[in-house]
Amino acid sequence: MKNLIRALIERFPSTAKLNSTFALILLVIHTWSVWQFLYRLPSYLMYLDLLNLLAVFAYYMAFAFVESIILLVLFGMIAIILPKNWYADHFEAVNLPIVLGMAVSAAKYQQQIGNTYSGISSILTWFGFTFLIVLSLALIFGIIGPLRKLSGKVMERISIMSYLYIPIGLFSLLVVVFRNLV
Amino acid sequence: MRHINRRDFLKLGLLTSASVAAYPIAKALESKKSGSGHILLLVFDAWSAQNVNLYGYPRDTMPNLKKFSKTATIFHNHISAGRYTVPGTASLLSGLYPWSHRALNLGGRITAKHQDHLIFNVLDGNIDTVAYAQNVYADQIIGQAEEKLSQHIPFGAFNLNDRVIYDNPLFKKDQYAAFNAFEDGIIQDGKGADASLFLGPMIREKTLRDQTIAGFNHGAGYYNGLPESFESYSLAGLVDGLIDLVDGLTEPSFIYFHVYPPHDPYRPYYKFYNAFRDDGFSPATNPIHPLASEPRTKVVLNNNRLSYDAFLASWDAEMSRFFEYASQSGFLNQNTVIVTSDHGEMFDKGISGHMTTMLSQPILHIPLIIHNPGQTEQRDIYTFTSSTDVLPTIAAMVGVEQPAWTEGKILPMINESEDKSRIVYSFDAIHNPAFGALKNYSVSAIWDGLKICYYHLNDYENWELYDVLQDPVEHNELIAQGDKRQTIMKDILKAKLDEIGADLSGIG
Repeated sequence: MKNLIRALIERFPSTAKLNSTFALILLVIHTWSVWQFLYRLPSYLMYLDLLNLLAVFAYYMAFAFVESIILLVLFGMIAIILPKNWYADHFEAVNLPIVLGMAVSAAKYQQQIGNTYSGISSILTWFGFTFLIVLSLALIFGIIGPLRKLSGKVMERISIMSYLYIPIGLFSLLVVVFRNLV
Repeated sequence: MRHINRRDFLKLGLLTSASVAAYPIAKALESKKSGSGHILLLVFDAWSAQNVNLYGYPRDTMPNLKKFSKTATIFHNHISAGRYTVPGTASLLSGLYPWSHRALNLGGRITAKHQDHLIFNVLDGNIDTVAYAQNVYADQIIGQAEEKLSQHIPFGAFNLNDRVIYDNPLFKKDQYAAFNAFEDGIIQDGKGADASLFLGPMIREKTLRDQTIAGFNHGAGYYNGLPESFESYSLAGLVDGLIDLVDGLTEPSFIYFHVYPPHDPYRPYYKFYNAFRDDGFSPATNPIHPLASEPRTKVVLNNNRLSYDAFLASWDAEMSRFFEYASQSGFLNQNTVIVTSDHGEMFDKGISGHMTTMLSQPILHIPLIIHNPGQTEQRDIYTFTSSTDVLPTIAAMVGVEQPAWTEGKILPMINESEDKSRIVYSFDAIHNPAFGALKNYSVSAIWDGLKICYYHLNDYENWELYDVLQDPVEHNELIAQGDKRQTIMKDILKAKLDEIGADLSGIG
């Protein structure tokens, strides 16, 4: 049992790699959320006062933060399951195309949802297709050295974003909790 | 034709105040002062008087309501102060016109200045208050009186699937911000993008799947699936919920019960779907109005009207169980039942529904039926009344003095007291900021059967005049025909607009 746990922990990516992946996830999810908030802002400005407007923004940011954590946990779990040299060793490099590919796919998928249930086959087709593309990109980025290096450098630069989004996310979460407790 | 000069008008105005104040609803008032009964205010969303047989509609859409009304007071010319749920409900619950309460926009609610003027605040300490709204926008207005309510029944209480997030007990203390963030925001309602990139579409697909399953489990008997109000519901479930609620009340209570039917999507029972098809009734269809942004053909309008009428008949059939319960259990002997709406619906002039800036009579003319405790005969009131009158009337029933701030009047309940000179207004400013000056609005005033409309919109400005008693479908526009009464009607409206500080630039 101990050996199994040790083996699983060893497969877990390093803190630095987790940080940069988290920063990428935060950037993508928060940027989308802020963009959508701005899209709805003219409507909110019609009837929300400043306090309520900030509260609504806090909900957007808090939800984006929680969503980012869920996605990071998901990547962490995949890293534990897959062999180390397949995924955890190239955690930063392959997560860049994976996150971006999933984001594009999700953004496109959102537009096709209507007022009726698409059906499981339609959903599986979409995500199966996305999975294949993302997997291919991940393989390419994982195998080709220059691409892997490029990906690593991009991730390194992106990690700065966590200094912005983590405080915003935590503060927003506190605001939401506070407003619902007091 | 009657000739009215300005002096006559002033005299009539003075008479108005005196006569209405002199005739409160004596019987109901006495009964309530003793603190013995409940007051049940039933609101059917998007319910036009002009599609109800009781109000002269040729189709027998609501025979059970008609039966119920045989021992009630029917207000034949009741007008909603607002054109859709937000301003309509806010006026009903505050006794204020939309220019005062400022719940103008979709998602908006009553301004801070008036948020303590909701009916629940007025009745606080005199009678228990229970509120339920199956319309999420109406629920936000109810939420403003959260602390005063004895019981606020959650939005999803009688629904069949769980889609809405804000009514989760987690957000009980901050429902309004949660509502604005989650509904149609973090999670999109209908087509469009969720602000939550990954979880949004997953949650949406799950709720749509739940909705489909609810349809399979409970949708038998409906022609086109279960009715929906953000979440699916069944007409029978709503009526069961109402009966259970009323049956379980122990203390005298004011119950606000705002249900979604007959709001669209119109989902009638199968047995009513073809009830009015080929019945020989051909609705008068007016030409397309310039404010019809997406004009519908006459065929579409008539088909939508058929569905709406069939949905009304379905709802009426289900409500018959409540009327039966109220009658058999003796509920009607000791309690007051008020049935009304927040706004109406139209199928004319190229417009289907009520999402238009036009103040058309089918949208404004709503039913109001009041059954007083033990009432045994039908009374008919033909004077024009406003949805702002409901609050002062209920306050009087409970023995609370008419609040000074209300813009409504106690409803006349005896024929002799009818106030023919009453002016009732409707106002819409959905695209005008709630906090700003009133620059982009539609307004109407009805006086002695004449209705003047003024559209002061960013892209449209016009006056319209109708004789709504003779021409309820507004077929003959009277200004175009050179009707001389337009002058005094315009003056009436201009005076009101001036009083409320609305922008009058460019007014003709």
